[in-house]
Amino acid sequence: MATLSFLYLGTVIALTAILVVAFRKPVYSVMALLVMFFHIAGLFVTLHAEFLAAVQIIVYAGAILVLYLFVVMLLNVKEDDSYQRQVKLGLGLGLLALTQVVYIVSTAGAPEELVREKTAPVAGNTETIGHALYTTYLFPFEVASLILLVAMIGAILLAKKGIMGPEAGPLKESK
Amino acid sequence: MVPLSYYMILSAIVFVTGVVGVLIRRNIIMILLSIELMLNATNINFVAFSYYRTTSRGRSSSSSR
Repeated sequence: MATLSFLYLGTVIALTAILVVAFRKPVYSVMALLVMFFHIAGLFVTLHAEFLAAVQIIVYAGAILVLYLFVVMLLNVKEDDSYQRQVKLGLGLGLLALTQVVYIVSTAGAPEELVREKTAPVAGNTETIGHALYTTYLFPFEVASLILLVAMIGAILLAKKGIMGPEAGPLKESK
Repeated sequence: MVPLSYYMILSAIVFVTGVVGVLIRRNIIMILLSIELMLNATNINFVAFSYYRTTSRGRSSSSSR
């Protein structure tokens, strides 16, 4: 049963990932990405990461994809000239990297300690994540929030004209 | 019981698809979508490792993306 569900979810994830890149219209790509996000959430549920599955659906499918859809619709992206000229080169490089990774993974094999013990006690999912985030990984957590703050301020500075003086955007300061 | 290497290979497929998308697409939005593919591939890896190691390290680092 677990193998069957993994096979289904994995096939759909791989196919929709390829479709995201292959579709010529950006709206179709976003829709394929939406299907892929839902199946990744299903994969997280089978891996007993229910909190992350909920976050995957809420944040990715609910926020980020809606943002992409708005951008695609507002910018009215054309479907022509959507591929670079070096399609063959890109595909060749991708296949090369993929064969390397598959070769390494299949020859290395799983170490002994990576076999899951069945009897491990599992506390509440959200609880363990919150505890780990606020005790062990407090410093990386705060650094990530600082980076997000910098990104937010940067977006405001880039978007709002004349915030740094009369009708001079932040990009024109060098004049 | 699905072996861990299956998850790694699935994640590698998604990641390489994202890399190929960054390489061959010209539109900036499509490049951003391909970057999202790569991020999700890393998330699959994190969650799979966390499940097989029975710790919550991978999940916590994957939730603070």
